[in-house]
Amino acid sequence: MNTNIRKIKNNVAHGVFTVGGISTIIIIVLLVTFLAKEFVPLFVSARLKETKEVVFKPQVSESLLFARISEDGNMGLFFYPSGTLYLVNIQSGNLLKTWQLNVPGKNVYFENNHLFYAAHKKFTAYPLRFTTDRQTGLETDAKLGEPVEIEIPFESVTHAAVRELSDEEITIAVSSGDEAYFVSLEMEESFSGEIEVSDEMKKQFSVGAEIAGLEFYPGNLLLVALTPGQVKIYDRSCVYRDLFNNKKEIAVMKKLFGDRAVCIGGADGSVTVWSEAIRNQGRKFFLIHSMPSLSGKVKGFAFNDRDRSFIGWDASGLVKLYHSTSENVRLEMQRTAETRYTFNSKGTILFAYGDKNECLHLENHHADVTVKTLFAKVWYEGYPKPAYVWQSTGGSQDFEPKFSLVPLLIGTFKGALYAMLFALPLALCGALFMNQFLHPSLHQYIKPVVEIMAGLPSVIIGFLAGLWLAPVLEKVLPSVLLALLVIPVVTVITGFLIEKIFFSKSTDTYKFEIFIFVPVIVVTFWACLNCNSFLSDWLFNGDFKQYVYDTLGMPYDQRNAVVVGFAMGFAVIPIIFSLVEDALSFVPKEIIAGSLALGLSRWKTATGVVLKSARSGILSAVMVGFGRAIGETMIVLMATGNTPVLSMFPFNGFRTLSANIAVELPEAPVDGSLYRILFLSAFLLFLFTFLVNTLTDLLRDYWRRRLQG
Amino acid sequence: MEYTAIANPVITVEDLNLYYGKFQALKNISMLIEEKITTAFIGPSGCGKSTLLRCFNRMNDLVENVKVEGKAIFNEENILVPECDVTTLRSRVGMVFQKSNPFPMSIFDNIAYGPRKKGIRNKTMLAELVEDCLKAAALWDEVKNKLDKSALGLSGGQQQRLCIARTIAMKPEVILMDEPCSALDPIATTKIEDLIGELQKDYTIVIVTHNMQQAARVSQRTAFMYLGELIEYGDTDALFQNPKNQKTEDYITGRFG
Amino acid sequence: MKSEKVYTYLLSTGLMIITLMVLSVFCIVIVNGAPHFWPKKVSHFVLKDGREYLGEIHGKELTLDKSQFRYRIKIGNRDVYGQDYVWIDEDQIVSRAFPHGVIMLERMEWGNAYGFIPEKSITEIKTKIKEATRLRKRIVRFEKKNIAGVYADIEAIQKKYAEEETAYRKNRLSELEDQYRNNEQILEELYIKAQKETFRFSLIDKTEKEMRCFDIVHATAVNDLSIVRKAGVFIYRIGEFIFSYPRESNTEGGVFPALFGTVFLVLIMSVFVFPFGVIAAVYLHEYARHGIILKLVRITIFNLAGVPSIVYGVFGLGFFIYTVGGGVDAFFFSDNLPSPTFGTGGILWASLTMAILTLPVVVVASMEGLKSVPQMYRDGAYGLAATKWEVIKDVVIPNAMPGMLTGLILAISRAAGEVAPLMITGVVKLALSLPADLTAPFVHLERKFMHLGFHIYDVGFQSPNVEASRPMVFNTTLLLLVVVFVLNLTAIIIRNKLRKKFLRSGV
Repeated sequence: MNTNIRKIKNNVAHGVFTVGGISTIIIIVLLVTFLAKEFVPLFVSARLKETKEVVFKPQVSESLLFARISEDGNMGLFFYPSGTLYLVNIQSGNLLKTWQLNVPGKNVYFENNHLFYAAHKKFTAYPLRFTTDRQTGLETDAKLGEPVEIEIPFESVTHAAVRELSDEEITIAVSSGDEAYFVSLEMEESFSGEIEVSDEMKKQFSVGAEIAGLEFYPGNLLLVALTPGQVKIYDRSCVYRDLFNNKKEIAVMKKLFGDRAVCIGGADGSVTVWSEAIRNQGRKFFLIHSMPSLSGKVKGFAFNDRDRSFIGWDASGLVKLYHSTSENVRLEMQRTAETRYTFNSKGTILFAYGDKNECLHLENHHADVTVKTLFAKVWYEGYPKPAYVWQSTGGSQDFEPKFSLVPLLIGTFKGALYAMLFALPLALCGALFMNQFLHPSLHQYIKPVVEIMAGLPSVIIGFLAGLWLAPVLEKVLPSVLLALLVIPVVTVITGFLIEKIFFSKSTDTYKFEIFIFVPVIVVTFWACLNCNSFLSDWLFNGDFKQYVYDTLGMPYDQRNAVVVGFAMGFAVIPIIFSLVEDALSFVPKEIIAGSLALGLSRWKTATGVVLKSARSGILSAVMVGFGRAIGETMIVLMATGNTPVLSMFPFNGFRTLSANIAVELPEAPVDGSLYRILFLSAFLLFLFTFLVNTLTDLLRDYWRRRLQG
Repeated sequence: MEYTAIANPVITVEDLNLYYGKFQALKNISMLIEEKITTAFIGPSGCGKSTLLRCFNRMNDLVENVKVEGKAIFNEENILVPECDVTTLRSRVGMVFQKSNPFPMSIFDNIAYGPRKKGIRNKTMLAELVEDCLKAAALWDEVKNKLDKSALGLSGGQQQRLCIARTIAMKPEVILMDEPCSALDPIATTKIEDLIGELQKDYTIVIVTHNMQQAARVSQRTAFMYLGELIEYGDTDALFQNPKNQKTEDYITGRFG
Repeated sequence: MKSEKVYTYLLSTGLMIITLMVLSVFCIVIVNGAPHFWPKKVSHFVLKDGREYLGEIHGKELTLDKSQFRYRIKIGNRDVYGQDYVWIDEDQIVSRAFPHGVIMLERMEWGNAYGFIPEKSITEIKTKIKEATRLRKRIVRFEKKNIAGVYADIEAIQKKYAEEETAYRKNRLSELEDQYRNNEQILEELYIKAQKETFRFSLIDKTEKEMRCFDIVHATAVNDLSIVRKAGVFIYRIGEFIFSYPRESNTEGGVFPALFGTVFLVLIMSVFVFPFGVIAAVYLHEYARHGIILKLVRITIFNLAGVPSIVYGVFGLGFFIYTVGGGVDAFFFSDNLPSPTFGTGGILWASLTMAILTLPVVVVASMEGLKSVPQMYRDGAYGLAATKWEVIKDVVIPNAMPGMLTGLILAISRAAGEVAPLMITGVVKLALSLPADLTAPFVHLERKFMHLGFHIYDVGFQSPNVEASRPMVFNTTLLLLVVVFVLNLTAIIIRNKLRKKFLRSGV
């Protein structure tokens, strides 16, 4: 019998349909999961992945003076007080190379790939760098170059800063006690091959207090931190210019990654970040971040070459991993007080040395993103005050990314708001008129128009808005504003005249005669356009754009919120129109008949009874329209300048969340902070529309049940 | 309940209760349907006569929240249990609906639909079968020249006869008719009634009607139902001429309904 | 009473403005685009200072001081003058005429050229240009087949026998390499041949320029065309626009790859979305009993319809491209890693993203169609002992098909116009090869593609020469508008027919 086959087919079909139907839920779950999967790592705190003690094969009795590790963390350079420099394979502990330097004392520094020390009135700098293996690309060796020597007036130095240290130029500052010495030399190779040193500048000066740190700062500034708490600023010729007061005793001052800010550690454990910005035409240093404090006197900072994460440690052995932009403590550790730290250049490995040598593998992704940096004001380096800024990429590697979603959120709502301002009255009037006053035989002509309107691709609307409407509107905006006022008045007057002179209406629905308004509107609009130059001469001194700038203080952008309002309104009108029309049709005919039977006019019935009964339906239509405007991408992308400015001003551009995704995602490095933030913004968009739609659905459901009784 | 002893019961109903959600639509129905005669169910709207009829081929399965208790035995098998194969059952208990519902396909395809599902693919066999069924439904002469035309082009009465022919094509044992003439004019109704008279020679027919004259004309047995209960069941003549129950009498004399 | 009428007129204004807005969109696009195809007469201007210009008038506006008009003239010959357009003030003009014998050259690069060719040699040059066009096509074919093809073979051989140095590999490689060198030689000769045919082209300032026939697409004596010939050129240019490849960074030529990409994208999308949408709708309407799942699925569908399209794009990137595509690469195309095959944007992933985006459209319309199938058809089939699947297959789906097709058409029209998700799932401004062609396996789902909508965005907003590309963009817009309009209209007509049928059967 084929009954069994039929049954099997039936069951298979049942299975297929059920799976297919339920897959729609799976899709939305997948959607949420995959968006979440990409943005959740943004909010994961740093983690200590692995701690590995490093034991050197050749036992050294001395304690380490300083250490440096290679980018991948395999090699380490270790310097001992006796003047020995070792290159060690950290994994195996094998000693690879040894240099014996004639370096007495403790004042050895490492900066800008140079090892330098000061002794016997001499400042010596050795170029020292890890070298990479050509084939594997790994750092397997190190090279110590020929030293450069500079005479200094001090026997030994306590602090040193280096700006240039190259074959052509040397600029250093050193200090001893309350004395500082600055030297800048230029070296030139003469024709004979000899190196000529031309003294550019040399200066020794007293700063009046114990020096706690020296740093060069962009703009040829030298910052000198004094133990009592002030930081003195000297300009390029070492003339004292200004000071800023940390108000707390300074223990350490170091330059932050990117050189545009300095990190100051106080004797009380406070950690602050300062940066220079222009305010009121003057350059000034501002306290941009007060980081959570350490518990004892700050002993040191360690930085990496990739981001603004840094390590601060204090006399009690407490270690904190900070990120300056987000003012966030990413990780806390406790080690002994003698331990010191150095990062590899990637910031993935922290090497702790002192009593015990340890390799700490860190997982510290997306340190620059917190809820605070996304949604609150942040004081960025070089800014005179905290601000909401979106600027994801800059010209240089050490650019401080500014990931505030606030300007984008404001832009999103601004666009939607202007769109609704334009679309709502038109759509509501149109739908109410069609539903209540237009003869049903005409509906079949109007509805397809609205459907065609709904089907217009947003790229076409956006293109016309950006390339046609924006330049046109720029010229004729005053007359368009005039038309908005005049057209309703003219139509009302014409309507009256027609009714008075030609025929008088007995029924309350309208047929084709309503189309007489089309030429009326067109002619009125045309007339308004012709008034343009007169209007702008009369009201706006001949130039509307200049007038806007003079009176409102904001420049007129060609692609602005008004253009977007027109264009996105265009996209939203059919949605609101059809949903409102739907809601109005759902009002039971008996209610309308009842109202008319009570002697109420058609108008009273329409505005009183019908609108009132349909109000939650209309509300949900408005919400859906708003939701659509929030998520619209192409129109805002093409009709605004996409500048992420924070303003509700009608004549400037803005950037929305959706356009931001379209602009930035194709260029965002996979799994980077920007990439994940864009996923987060997609999720926010999803969440918003999801809430609006679900709410709308429930509202409509409730309302229909109530109307039906 | 009294009625003439039934020689060959085709369907035996025992203590049938049916609920739509919380509403009980059939209450404790027990009855026998006899072979190769016509049985009519009458009663006012909402009395449960259609529901009872639909139990015989499990069309009630398509309604949500239906719960059935009791037994209906057809071919020594309780057809109300879930294990019963609905497809086989429906091919043996055919049904004609209130409104004619030919599929929007050709007349030929409408009648061949059931047999094809049963696995008959042979073209000549199908053609013969279609002809037989149309002849049996007294429709052959009217449609023999337009078998490939859409069935929707036929008149209401023709459509209904087509539906009967379509049912016959399944070679069922029982044909259920759910008010088959309610949408038809008197002439078409007469034709259907004549057809029922012819068909009962070969098939057991159960017909639901609210037209008492029709019940009297076409059936040998009549069951009167009221508010989900089987009030009276017996020979048609006896029931109409000498109702035993007051409610039956009130109904057939037109005091309510 | 009177004041109420006033308000009614106000309401009607809303409806009228909406209607006018839709009409004006069509008008703006047509007016700005279509005339570009109509051959324009070339004017000869002589100015007071003795300068002479030959070009098409492309605009007229008030000068800045509003005292007079000025003309925007497209003088072409960008290679000579450095710019395409000049402005001429009206009071500077001494004379203006449409000289006979002006030849407009449409060129492969540097835009149009306007000038003169000696009358007697015109036919000869036109034949030469035709020959050169044939030669150009031949070169393109040759490069594709005999150069790129052989190169691909060499690569394949190298990869296939990478491990071992067999004699076969050696022989085959040297054979192929010989062939390659040979073909290069031939190509070289073809190019030399292409350089050979030239003619003298004199510009308005009496300078002469040597033009290579090979660089010329068309030579038209625009001022001497009859109206019929002009109409012929008009139609020819429309055809050329639709069926040829873009030139000069998309500002000239046609949009064929973009049109093809759009069509191909919606085709693949339809293959996925139609069955899936229909299945989901049938489940919702025929199988699902009222309950929590049904409610969930309903809310889901409703929500999916409201999710911004860019979110689907982001999802497509994260899920299809990096997760699924990355997985496919790791399994099947690990040879090519780290350069991705499916792990990067491509037409398959874009289509799938579009399929999810348009799923609600298909589901909702299919549900509409299913609702319009009268219950009695189902009863009839059940009464004839059909199983549920048979009822659905034989009766329900055939009758709901118009509704389902409406859904598909609406989905296609939506997908044809949606650009935002494509921008992050694989659309490019210029794709060298189509996603389907005559080299095996004929359909290349991993390839990037061009799209009409993105073409509009790119040429209109990212183009280095926005002014020159303006007619191109408007015409691309017109094409897209026509495609979407026709699709929508079809859907509306089908839907209305369905509604009528539904009304009839409901009686």
